[in-house]
Amino acid sequence: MEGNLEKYYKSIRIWLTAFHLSVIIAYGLILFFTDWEILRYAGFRIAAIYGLFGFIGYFILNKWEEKMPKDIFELTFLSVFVYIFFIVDFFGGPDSFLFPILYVVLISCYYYHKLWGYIASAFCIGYLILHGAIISTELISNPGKYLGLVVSFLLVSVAGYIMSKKTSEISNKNESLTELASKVTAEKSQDEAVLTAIADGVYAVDMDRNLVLLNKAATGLTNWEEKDALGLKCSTVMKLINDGDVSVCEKDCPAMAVWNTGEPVFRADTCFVNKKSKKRIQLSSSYAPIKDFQGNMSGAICVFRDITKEKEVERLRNEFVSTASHELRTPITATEGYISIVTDSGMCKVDGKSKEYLGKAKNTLLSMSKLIQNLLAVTKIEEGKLETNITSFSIHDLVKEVIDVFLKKSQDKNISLEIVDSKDLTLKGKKVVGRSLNVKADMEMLREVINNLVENAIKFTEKGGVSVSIDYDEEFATVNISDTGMGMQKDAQKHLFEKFYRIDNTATREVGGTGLGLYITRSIVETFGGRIWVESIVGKGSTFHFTVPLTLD
Amino acid sequence: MSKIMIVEDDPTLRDIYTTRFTAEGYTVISASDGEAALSIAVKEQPNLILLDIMMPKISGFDVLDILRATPETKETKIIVMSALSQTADIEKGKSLGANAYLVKSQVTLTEVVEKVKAVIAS
Repeated sequence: MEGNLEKYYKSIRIWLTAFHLSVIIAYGLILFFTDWEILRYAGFRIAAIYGLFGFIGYFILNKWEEKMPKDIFELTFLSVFVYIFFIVDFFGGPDSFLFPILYVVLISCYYYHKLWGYIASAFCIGYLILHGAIISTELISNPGKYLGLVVSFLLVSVAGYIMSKKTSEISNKNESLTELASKVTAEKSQDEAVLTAIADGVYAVDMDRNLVLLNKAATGLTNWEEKDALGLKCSTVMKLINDGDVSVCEKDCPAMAVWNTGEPVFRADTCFVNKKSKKRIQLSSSYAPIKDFQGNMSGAICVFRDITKEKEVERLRNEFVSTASHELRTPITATEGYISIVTDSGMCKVDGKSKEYLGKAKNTLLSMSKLIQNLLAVTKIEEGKLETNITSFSIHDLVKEVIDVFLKKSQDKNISLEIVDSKDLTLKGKKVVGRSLNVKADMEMLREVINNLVENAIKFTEKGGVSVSIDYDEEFATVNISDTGMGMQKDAQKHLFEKFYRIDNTATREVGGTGLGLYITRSIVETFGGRIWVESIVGKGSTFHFTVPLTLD
Repeated sequence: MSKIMIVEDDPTLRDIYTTRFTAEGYTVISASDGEAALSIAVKEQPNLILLDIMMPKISGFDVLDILRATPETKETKIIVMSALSQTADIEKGKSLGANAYLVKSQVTLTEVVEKVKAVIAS
């Protein structure tokens, strides 16, 4: 388009220059071969000079070409106007039969631009005055003729002015419309460029779940051509299946979920089959509603990516962890089994010392077994696969049960272990009657928590004792496990519940541990909406507190 | 005296259980996979079967299902002992008719012996 326009301007310029040149040549020839009176006419002489300028102008304009195609057009227009004037002048000016052409020229000038109109008006009227006063001297003898012509030019000028104003309004409007249109196009193509450039798949559906957009990455992942896919149901192009092999599109459509809730939806459990390769593509996708100007839902947009590889890696890792721990456990069980045959079954003769060492070997095995169990638990926690069975039960009874299990151990160590009886349950200092003090959690997991904390307390206490108490407030039961053990530094208290953290001193090394117990304990407590913390003074002892939400009745 | 059948594919574990239960005074027979377990169980009519789940050929769950559907072994006491610790697995074992479900990682040999005694006595 632009190239065509340039060619057009170039041809105008060449033809015009040729015409300018021919005017000069014609003037020269007439001057040389004839003694025509017409040469007196100022018009022809001016035309010849103008032609010279026009001819030189061609070379100047050639340099400016790129900058001002519009000016070239205007110069052409001016040239045509000037030559018409000379022709009229040549044939006798106001007396010529060609004179009315000037009215047409005047109107044309106004039509093009009002500025040009003004120039043309001034030119016409000026010409009339000069012609009448200088050339024919008729202005003096017959002023009425010239006055009439001047008035007629003025009238035409006014008419031209009004017209030019109207057309400029329209053209202004057109111009702003064109500008807007080009802006919109630019923005649209920018949006498209952005969508195409996104490495993740993007698609959008309307409220009938027909595809209205499919970016390049999406066409690559699905192997559908954009032009084929648009307008089809999204379930035709991407039939989603969840991890359990159940179709998602009919009953579990994420777009529907988005429309129901108005909130974005994230899914990592779906896949579809690639059209060409017939391979399953595992997806991680997020869906969001599209709203129109009034805020009504008009569709949904989905950004998705292929996580087939990640899923596979995850699966292999899980498999590895569970296989490895299974394989590790079997020899432990076997060794422990043989030891217990020796010590417990009465089949072998074992003296006191042997029994003692075999007992130590067995304990080591048990802690190794515990470590593997903890590793498995941590894996589950981090994958968010902690299975819970939430019920309502008495935390007091559970603590009592755990303490009963540990009574023998504490007696062996010669330390006390007691539950500070909290039969008179109070809330804010007042006795509460008829309020359930059951907690809501997984009982077995909570047993593990209390187990861990009580076991630790006994482990780190050499004299004195361990006591457990329970407080209640409006929402939570708080279990406090206090010991008179070695206590710990402030710094250690901060990191105590982190994974693989072990207090770095010789005293604890002797006692041993995996550094996972309290991390698991914290994870379990937090799973049920509680929190866990510790208060401790070195040499005096520690108190562990954790909270469990009460059952709402 | 009661007859116990151990179904376990790991030879070491099989040996340990056999030795231990023999020491406890039981008559012990064993099978190393599900297929063998089925034929031996019908022939020998043990009082109690200690059944592993993850085994070659036929899984413990299938063995359990078939044993419960066979007239000769319908009433035999069965304790499932597996590494599988998921709630779903435990539920499955119980619904298929196991008298008890023990998770290998959670019990010691002595505890297994106690459980066996308790189930036989019941």
